[in-house]
Amino acid sequence: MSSTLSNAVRPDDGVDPTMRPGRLRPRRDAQAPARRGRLGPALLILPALALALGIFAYPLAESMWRSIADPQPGVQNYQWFAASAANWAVLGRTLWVAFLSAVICLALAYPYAYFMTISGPRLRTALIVIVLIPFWTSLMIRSFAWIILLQDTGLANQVLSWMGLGPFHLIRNTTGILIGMVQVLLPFMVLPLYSAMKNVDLRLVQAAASLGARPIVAFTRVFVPLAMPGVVSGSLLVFIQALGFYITPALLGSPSQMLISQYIYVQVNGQLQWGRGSVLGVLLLVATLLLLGLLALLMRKSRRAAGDEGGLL
Amino acid sequence: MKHAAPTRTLLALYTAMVAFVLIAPTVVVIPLSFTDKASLTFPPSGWSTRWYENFFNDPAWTAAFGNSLTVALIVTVVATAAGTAAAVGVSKWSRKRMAKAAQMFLLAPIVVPSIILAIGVYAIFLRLQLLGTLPGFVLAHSVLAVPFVLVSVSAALAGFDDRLTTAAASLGADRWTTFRRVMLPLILPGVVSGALFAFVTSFDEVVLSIFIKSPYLETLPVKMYASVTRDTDPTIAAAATMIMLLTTVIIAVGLLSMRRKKIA
Amino acid sequence: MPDKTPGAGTRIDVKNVTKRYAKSTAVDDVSLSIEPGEFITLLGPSGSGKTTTLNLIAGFTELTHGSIEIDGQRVDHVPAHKRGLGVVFQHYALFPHMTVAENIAFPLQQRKTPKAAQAALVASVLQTVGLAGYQDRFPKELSGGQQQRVAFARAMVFNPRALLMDEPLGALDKNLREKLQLEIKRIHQDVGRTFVFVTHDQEEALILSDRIAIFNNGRIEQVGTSADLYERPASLFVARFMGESTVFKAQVSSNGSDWHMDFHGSTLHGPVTSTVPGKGALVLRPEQLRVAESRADAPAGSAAVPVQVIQNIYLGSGHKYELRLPDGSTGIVRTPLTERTSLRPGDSAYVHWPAHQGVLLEDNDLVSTT
Ligand SMILES: Nc1ncnc2c1ncn2[C@@H]1O[C@H](COP(=O)(O)OP(=O)(O)OP(=O)(O)O)[C@@H](O)[C@H]1O
Ligand SMILES: [Mg+2]
Repeated sequence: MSSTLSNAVRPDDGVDPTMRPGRLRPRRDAQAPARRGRLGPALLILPALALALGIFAYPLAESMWRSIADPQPGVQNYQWFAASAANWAVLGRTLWVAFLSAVICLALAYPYAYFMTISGPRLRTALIVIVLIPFWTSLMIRSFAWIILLQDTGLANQVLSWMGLGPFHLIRNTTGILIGMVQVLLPFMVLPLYSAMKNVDLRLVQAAASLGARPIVAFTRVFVPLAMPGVVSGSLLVFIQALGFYITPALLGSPSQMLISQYIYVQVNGQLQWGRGSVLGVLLLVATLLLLGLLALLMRKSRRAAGDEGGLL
Repeated sequence: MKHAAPTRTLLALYTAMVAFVLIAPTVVVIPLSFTDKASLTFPPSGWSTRWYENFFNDPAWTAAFGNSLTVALIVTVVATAAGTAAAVGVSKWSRKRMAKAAQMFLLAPIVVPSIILAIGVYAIFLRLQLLGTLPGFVLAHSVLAVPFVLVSVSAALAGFDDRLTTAAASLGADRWTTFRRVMLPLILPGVVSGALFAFVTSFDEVVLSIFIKSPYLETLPVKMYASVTRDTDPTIAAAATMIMLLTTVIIAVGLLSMRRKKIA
Repeated sequence: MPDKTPGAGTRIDVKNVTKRYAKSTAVDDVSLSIEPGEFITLLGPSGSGKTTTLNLIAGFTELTHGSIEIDGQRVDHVPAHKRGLGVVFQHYALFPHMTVAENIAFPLQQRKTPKAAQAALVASVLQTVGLAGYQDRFPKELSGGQQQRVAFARAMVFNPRALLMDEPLGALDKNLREKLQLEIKRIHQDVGRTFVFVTHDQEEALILSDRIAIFNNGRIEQVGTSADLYERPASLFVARFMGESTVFKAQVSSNGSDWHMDFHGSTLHGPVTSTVPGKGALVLRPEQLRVAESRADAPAGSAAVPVQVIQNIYLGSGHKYELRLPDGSTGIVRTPLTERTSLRPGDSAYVHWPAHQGVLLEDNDLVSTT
């Protein structure tokens, strides 16, 4: 018997069952699946929720707890962080590298995404596939490839020496980190940029021309402002991810110029300073969450400004 | 939009350069895996398949490869089941705010830098003696894989006409039959791509794995990580090439199967 | 630079222009001379090449063959921003990130108009389009009709050499359309500029235009005043596109001064005014025709064809008949109230008219109805 149907004809609960003796049983049957229907969806989420609680929330809470409880309760780990100039240097370097990554990604991705919007469907598909390829190839493989290419005797330096330059140290320093990081993060810049640009009504640029604007003016006064939400969200996305990167800096960077994620590893795995490592983790987490909040806010705002014409991402 | 020819050419050149930066580094690995020298110089001066032989003859490499496959396959099953169920749950839950909050929480693991998660998981696995165990790897990777399934299935569900379930119910199908016969076939592309993401996520995972490995159980990326930092042995290039091949095949199969579904 | 004196219009000559795309020819050997100060409308069905022609004039599209001249100067290779033409788009194309005032000031900034003069011009043009006080709104805070007015103001403010409009009223409801049609007509009379207007609504074309160019399949079928097109259509397509008509199709013969056709037993004839086609189509407007209950009721010497009544509709101002002609096609007759008949659907009757009336055209329909 269909529960929907019997629900629909079910009499009010107030009706005296003795007046309709035959109704008593079907009514109870009809109610049971209805109640399961209300709770069912929540039950479906449970397995994933349990996993996230046990292997995500609990470990994070453990880390935060350790930042004030290891080796003994108190704020000494935070004091340690604040007191040392070296710690601030790591933090500063991390922010700087993340900032540079975002800027370089933007410089590379803007023309790329723009070219995508003005090219034909086939070329555009090819360009999207090229952007997505890094998603398919493991981070390890790409970092490894960069080591090969950028090492002192690598292809990059060979090419440079033919041109009469170098050799330069391209890895085990910030340059190496930036090169590796930019390649890894480029898709996160290209995709939001492209999606913002393709939502720009190119007829507006045409309209600007009809009003006497030179191509460069039409581009800067009409296209660029309208594509700006893509720039903002792409840059924030790249910046946020760059902050917490571990593998690329660990393989292409230098132990003497650590970023915060490497520093966390050293504290926890090398020196068994769980509390200190956790403080660094908390800082990184707070920074990430704040920036994410900002991103969400800006996106909601620009979506509203665009009159809800689809999202940016 | 119209552009003067020189502008267009410049743009095209710049785009080509960026495209080169995006793919070139990955391609380098393939010829390198066929070098005949025991050094990581590029381009190679001679060719051989010895590093592939080396890979398959070295129990450390083959064990790591086997572990990675086992973990990734189990994670695919676990994460796809949990993620799909969660996506359906979120979309059906009548209390939209709660559903939204639950979804945000389930997505959080891919937003939080993995190094932070890694030290926490390390601490807990240490206590529970899960370090270097198969369940440990599966649990840790699943947490990172579920979000991808959730996103991809949710996207598929967004295009699913809810009246179809009502229609199926009116035709006498129970909930499970409705899911299996009506909803699942329609959201299958989302489920399949979620599963692919889950597999690749696990197969590629390094940061958490570095913390939770043991000398007795490590995955391929962990072994590669150690190899990159320690030795200059082209076996790693052979391993990398095979991983790329595997991922490409998986993605191609996934895309093809999805296209067939669309046509049918 | 455009002349500031009212009444000074710009001449636009489109000469043998063709625009080919990879898979189609959008505009095929079109020639059109637009007189200074004229209001000309490009009218035609969807896909007939109106927008493409307008875009070629505006400079948004490169032409394949031919040339375009503005005031006698070739502009084929002059980019859009240097042509000095104002364009109003069907989709308005207002910049969403600029206020009304900023939108309207945009073309003035491009022309380096002094700031103070800009403000004055913006205020005055807003006054003209009835939007004084709206200068600080963003486009999305305006109704469709208001947005349309802003688009119009923006295209007018820099005193362009000519104003091109592509279905500017297409997205508005009927009442608003009619109101804005009158406003556009008034503004055209006030400023005396050349206006080129695109629409696929023939009524709108009739209301607004000095002349109308009828487009079909990438070609211009005829250019002329409304009366030209209605009374002297140059082709069957124009006759059918401009208003209602009844068409009698048959083989035509000619003795030099008169032509004859045998339309299913009825002899139709008229004076020869141009080349006589082999397969002819005689076109009559509903007002030219009358209906009679018998052949005898038709005046002597008039042309008459037996028909069957499909509908006899009372319209208040008169009657409208729908008739079935002997070849199966439909005829339409409008008569004044004074000529009442008692014909009902299904009745046999005669449609008649003074024998010299009607326009004889070539029957170039691909499928003949006979
Ligand atoms: N960019 C283009 N690429 C290819 N074909 C085009 C392009 N623009 C227009 N066409 C084709 O050219 C023909 C004329 O198009 P056009 O836009 O000029 O028609 P229109 O008369 O303005 O029609 P409508 O009343 O629907 O706006 C159409 O068949 C159209 O498909
Ligand atoms: Mg058009």
